[in-house]
Amino acid sequence: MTAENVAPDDSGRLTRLARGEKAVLLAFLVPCGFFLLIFFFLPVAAFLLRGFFDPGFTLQHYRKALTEGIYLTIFWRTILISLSTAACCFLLGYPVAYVMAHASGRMRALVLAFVLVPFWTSILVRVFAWIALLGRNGVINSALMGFGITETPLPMLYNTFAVLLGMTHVMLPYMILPCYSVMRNIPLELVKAAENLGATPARAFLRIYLPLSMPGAVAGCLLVFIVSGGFFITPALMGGASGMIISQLIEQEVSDATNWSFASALSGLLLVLIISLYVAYDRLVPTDEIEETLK
Amino acid sequence: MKITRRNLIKSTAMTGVAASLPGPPPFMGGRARAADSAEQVDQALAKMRGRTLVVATWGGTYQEALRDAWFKPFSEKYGVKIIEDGPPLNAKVVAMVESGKITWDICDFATYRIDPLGLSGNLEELDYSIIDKSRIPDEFVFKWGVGNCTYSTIVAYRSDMIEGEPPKSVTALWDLARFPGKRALHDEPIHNFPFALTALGVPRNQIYPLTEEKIDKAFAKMDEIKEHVIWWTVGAQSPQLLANKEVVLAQAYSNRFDNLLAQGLPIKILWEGGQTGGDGWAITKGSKNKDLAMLFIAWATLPENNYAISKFITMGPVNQDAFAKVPADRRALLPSAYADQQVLMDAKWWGPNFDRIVQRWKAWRLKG
Repeated sequence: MTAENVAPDDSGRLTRLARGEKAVLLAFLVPCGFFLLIFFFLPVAAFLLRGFFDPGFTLQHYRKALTEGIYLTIFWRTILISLSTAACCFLLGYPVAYVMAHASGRMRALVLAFVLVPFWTSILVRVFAWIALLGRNGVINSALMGFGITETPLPMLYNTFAVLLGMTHVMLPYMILPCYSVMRNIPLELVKAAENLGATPARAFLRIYLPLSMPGAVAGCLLVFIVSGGFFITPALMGGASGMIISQLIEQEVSDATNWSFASALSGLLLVLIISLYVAYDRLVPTDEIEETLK
Repeated sequence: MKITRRNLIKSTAMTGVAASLPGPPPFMGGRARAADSAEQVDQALAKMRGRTLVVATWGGTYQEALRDAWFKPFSEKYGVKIIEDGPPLNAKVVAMVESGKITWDICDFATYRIDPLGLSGNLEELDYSIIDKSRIPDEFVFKWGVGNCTYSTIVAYRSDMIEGEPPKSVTALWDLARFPGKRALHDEPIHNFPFALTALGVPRNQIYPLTEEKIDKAFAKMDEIKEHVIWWTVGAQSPQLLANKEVVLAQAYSNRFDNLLAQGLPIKILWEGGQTGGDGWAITKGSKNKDLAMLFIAWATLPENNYAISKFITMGPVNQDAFAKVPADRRALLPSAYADQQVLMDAKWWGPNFDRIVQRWKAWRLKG
């Protein structure tokens, strides 16, 4: 009888305890949540609202952004540059992440250092370093002309090539680190087993390793793509006359034209675009399932 | 960003401009009156000891020159503390006025930015019973601001990059056959249109006021060189592009070459077809120190103070009586020595038209 009485009492206490624990955990989130609410969500919301008011309610700014072809062109160019950056980062970063995940301790430490040191260097410093390298009289052109490989300097700066190069350089760690963290948990025995069963190394990689590493690759690509969509410094300093992307346009509308309602409309569209691409990606690529399998 | 500018105008040219105007209003009659106003400003400022004024300007050697010419002497003489801040970008001024937290009492703007900001309610009207405008050409006098110094936008090249006959005028920008390579241009219509119209053969004195027809023509002319341009937004960029030989011709503010010339770089300046413009003082709407700000502006535009800018940078004063006070050797270095070859910017025309033309410029820039 006593035992029977204790049991329900205990479970009630456990529920209360669990509830209390949850409350404590929620309380931990309050300072950061409050900080974000005051200093991030409210200002962003206030700015985005401007897109609909000028000063009365209006859709004219959204209409302008969506109907005048030039703004759509710039959105499209922004997407293309961001996708290209993600693709370049994937091609360059994926093999590096593989080496980091499966090499010996010293090798891994060395590669990690090479990945992280640029990560800790200011973007501006890196942009100016690229300008010194790529300029008409920069290190590369001087060397090429000195060796007689070209007669006139190659146009490597102030064009889309330069922007892609600079952005890929900045974004590479964002690709390598997520790939690395997933690849570390992939047992190479699976690949060996596949080869044992007659798969060529290429087939084993394509059928076993690549699908298992997809969550990292997808996370990396998403991260690179999303951050690239809002890139400003690199295209502003290394871009050419016609390569303007959306963040530069928004900056211009804010600081020169003080056309904040239109800038807000452009920002709103950029946000919607990136969120919808994120959602689409999330639906199309079953990253959760793969993660489950690995566990 | 769209920063800076600065240089000079020839005193004779400015006097010519002033003479062609209806003349000072009757209540402000000439020099005797100017002496009075100097005394009144001095007396009023004597009561301001211990107060503080915040002035927003554009940094670099330009800000150093303003400090040496005006901020320091003013502080020392009247015991008013001057805090320098900036840059006074349009967006920051508008945000300040909108939020009601005015931290900048005085802003330093290119003169063509004064009217648009004043019309949109972001600047205080100046009190010309305190500020003596009788010896300042009308081009530099606005309802919401008054000129402080002048500058020239010119084209420069490196003599070691050009073979054969050197270029003569800013129209060399359009001579792609003789001067192949990139050109550095300001990413705004204001300095490019007069150059384009000069290249189209429009006489110097007929460039302003701009008309729709002239603007269409200027855009068409810009199309010819568009794909050969590296656009700059900050005054320091263009001289750097030329110093690094990234461009063959660089449109820039002439005073921005002071340092490179002093370093001995083989830089040549084309004054022919350049444009003279001005910078000016304005008071942010709602400034708590409006009275003091007005007196500072009145003091800084007096000839005995206005000339001092030319001692520290190759930019000119706006007060006609100030030119005589610039030492002769210094005067020869100012762009004013070439004023007869240049176009005088009509900031009054640009004022109400600026936003509209800039919108069109942006659309043009985004195409292709």
